Amino acid sequence: MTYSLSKRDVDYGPLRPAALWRRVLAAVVDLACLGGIALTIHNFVFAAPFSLAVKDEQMARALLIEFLVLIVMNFFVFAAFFSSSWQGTLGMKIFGIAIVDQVGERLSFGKAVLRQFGFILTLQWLGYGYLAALFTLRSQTLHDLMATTLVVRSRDL
Amino acid sequence: MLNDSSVSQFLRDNPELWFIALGIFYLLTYDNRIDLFAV
Repeated sequence: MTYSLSKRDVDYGPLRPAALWRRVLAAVVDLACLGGIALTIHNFVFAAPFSLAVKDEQMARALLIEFLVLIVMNFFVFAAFFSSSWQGTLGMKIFGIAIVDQVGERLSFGKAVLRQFGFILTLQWLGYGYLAALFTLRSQTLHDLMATTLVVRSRDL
Repeated sequence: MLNDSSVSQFLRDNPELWFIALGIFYLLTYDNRIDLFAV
């Protein structure tokens, strides 16, 4: 008698976990959106034709500050989206997935912020935290495990 | 831990407002557009 527990043997109930490819493609779409948004804000901040050439030290400092402000803003805006009525970002909406907490409800903002802190760890070393979704029974990534959240198909909600 | 103000609650209930605000911002800064295809 063997006791191998695979994903096929688990009764997920009405909420089935989303496939990893959907999550990765959603992240790619979000990243592309983020690039456009960052360019728009960069335009506003510098109000000059964009140039990758850093001309002097002052401009380098300004770019660094802008970069840090954008990262902190994006941290909380993403948390706002995760706890919004979409329960996810634009990319996640396009690929039909949504985030729920352990009882299948919409996240609170505090929990979404907690998940974002976990996402910092996930992103380290080329996003190895996503690999956890291949080995956990409910396809949870590292940040999902840390915040006890679950990414599911939004049509099941 | 983090209590919602009515503004942030409103934004969380209507996430599409972020994109509408961004679109308005984009149009307002139209004069300083990056010319990605500039020679």
